[in-house]
Amino acid sequence: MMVPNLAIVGSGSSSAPAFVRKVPLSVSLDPANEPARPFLDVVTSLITSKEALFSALQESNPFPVDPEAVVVERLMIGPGGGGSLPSGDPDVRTYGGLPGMVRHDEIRFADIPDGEIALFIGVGGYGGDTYANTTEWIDASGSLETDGGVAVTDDSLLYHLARWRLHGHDLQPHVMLSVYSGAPEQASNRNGPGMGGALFERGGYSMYGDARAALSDGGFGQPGQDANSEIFLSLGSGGSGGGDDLGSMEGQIGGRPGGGGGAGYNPGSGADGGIKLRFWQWEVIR
Amino acid sequence: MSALAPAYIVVDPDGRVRTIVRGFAQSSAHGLIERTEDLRHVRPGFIYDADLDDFVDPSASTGV
Repeated sequence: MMVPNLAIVGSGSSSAPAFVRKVPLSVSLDPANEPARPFLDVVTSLITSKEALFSALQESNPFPVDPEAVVVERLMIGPGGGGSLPSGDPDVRTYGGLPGMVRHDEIRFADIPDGEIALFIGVGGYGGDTYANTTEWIDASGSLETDGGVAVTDDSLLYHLARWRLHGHDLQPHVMLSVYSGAPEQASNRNGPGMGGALFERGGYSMYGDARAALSDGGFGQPGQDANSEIFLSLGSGGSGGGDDLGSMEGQIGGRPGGGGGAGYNPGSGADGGIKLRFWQWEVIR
Repeated sequence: MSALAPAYIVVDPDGRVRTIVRGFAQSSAHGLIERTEDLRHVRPGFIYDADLDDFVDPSASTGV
């Protein structure tokens, strides 16, 4: 296996062109007990460090890992919001919880400051909660926070719709209004976890980046589906709203990570957030 | 939900609630308090009040 070399220029002894490629690194935080996987899926909070991450990377891969050549792809997902409680007015819609927000970036491993890294996974919102916890990456240089979803009311819907749009989420209005159920375009969020279902409606689809990572809701009266653990970009879908044909008015919980809970007289909670980390190494091919 | 790890309230050094997280993760810079039913009302932004021994909403008080 080739030792990575950041120099893109030729070695001098050869006139052959040089190319760079990004090689995926396997990773396990506990290589002695856990098999290395294509990415780290952090579902409960943990404390690690730059040094521990590097030794985990080196132990998880059979070839030399150069910290200067490694980049970290971070997918941070805020927790989902809980569903809303019906107001009692039949003319006022009762919405499911908004999904957690998503932050996706890539940083050089070398740019992470030495020392402790705290990965805090925000807890999903309870039904009716109009505030959200955050999912956070905290290191010596500061914190990176990703907001969670909240329960929305008729009054706050447009405000939150605009806010989610500003953060790159594409919540489809027809699904926000839950007019169509089961239509092919029922991707309630083309850029993140699914929104919870309104009363009498199913939860929203999740999707992120690649349509193949889309996840449908779990069905009427069912919790949102948890992300496919083999797919980096897979996120949780929304929980169904209450009001099924058996007369249950219970909203269902969102799928992990980030799915919103369904509306109901006993609204569903939002799913917890999450952090997924994928590591790559740049290598030069000659 | 019973299979999930407990939730913890993450408190900054100045007593402000930073966020509420899943699982115990003790960092060097934050306090962790398990979220029990008694602390169900606590949300991010609340401040610890030593007199009341409780977390209170700073925006709800006139500081009398």
